[in-house]
Amino acid sequence: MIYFNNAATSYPKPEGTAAAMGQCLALPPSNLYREDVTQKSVITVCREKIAGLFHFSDPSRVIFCSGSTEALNMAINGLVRPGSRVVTTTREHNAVLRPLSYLCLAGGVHVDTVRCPPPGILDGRRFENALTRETGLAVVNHISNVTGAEADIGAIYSLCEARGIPLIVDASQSAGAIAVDFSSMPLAALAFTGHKALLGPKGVGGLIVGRELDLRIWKSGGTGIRSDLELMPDAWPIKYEAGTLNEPGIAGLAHSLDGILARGLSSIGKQKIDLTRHLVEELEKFDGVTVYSERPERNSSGIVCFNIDHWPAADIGYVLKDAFDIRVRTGLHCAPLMHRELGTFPEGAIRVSFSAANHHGEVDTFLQALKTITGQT
Amino acid sequence: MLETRVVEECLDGVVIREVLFDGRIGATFIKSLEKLGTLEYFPHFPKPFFRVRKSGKYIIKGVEGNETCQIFYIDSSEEIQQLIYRTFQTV
Repeated sequence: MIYFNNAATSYPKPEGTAAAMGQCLALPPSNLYREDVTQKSVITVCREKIAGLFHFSDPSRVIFCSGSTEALNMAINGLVRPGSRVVTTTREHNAVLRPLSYLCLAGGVHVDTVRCPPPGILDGRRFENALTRETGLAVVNHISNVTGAEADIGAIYSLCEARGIPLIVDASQSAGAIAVDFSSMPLAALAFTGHKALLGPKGVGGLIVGRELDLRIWKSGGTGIRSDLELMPDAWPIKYEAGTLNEPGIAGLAHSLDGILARGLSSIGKQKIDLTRHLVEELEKFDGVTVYSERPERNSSGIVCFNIDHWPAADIGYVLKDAFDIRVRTGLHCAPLMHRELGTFPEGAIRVSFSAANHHGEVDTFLQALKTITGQT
Repeated sequence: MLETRVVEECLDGVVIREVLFDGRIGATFIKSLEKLGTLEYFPHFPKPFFRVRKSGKYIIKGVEGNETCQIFYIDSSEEIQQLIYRTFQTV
């Protein structure tokens, strides 16, 4: 089987990740917040690794949860001010768009959506024009999960910081794909997930919260400590981690992070650019193929989005899976506004997304399959 | 035909059902689907693919040798669904 659906969930996981999860399950359960000072729990270790990956100095402000969707809900609902305006973009995933739609429905929040023309370019001036005195929050996708286009988060952050507007960065595709330096962004929160480019299991992710930001509590409940309190204990990260953390998942993520850090993001990015370049160069030789994604030299996330004339994307996905044993993702990729920008709504497009485990031979097999399907030799 | 189930897809306004048969889909069955619309058959794929289109109504697609096929209903009325299921059962 050839797996090109890594922007959804990466596969295969690094050697040892499953074993790390199994080892965690085999140990007697512990209480994270009653940790033996002589031995750090795997959760604390993973928190420190995540902070290190994003060059963030305070691991206690790394909050674990089930993934980006929960992290973004926590951040959006924790930072939005009633009566304010929220600026976002057409690049966003439904993990951002739907929570914002619910806030609009509930009343009291207005969303301004910045247009991002193909391949999902977030223009700083256009973004700046959307910021008003009523803007209380901005939410921006770092790398588009449809096209691989990267936003200049440093520039977007500066525009927000100058106006005192908190910025939420959806790093679902960039975490583990490119270097993200969070050290100089105290007015930002960054949502990440473990199961994509971080190569961890499903069901684990988190939110990093800038040192000058305090979120309203969105989720409350048991913590295993200070059960006498009516409200959540006022300490990081516990006040945002009500309930039971996915400890085996976090153990798996901690192991996967070691492999990423050992190899280096730059090396991983170069390999994905190389695969992307090879695929796009060959796709452009086909008749009737339209490529929508970011140019290969700027596409470190390894996401290639395209369509083929006379072949609906859904049919290509079906044929590739059932007749050629190749996995891609077709449709709207949970990003309907991005597909409207590309002119591919509502049918969507075919998305190939690489991991560092892929190689040129697989791309050649994929191209040969497309030639067979389209009758081009 | 044994059972059907709804397939969730990232597509707008289309109902997709997967049909499970009590045997593998063969060339005779595929040929018989001509009754339901325009049949396209791709026998040169590693596993032959077929697609039946009825404009504005549905698309049926599957792979020879599989036990399932998918129906994309543009018109998901009971009448259309029954027409397809009846045809499947007479083959």
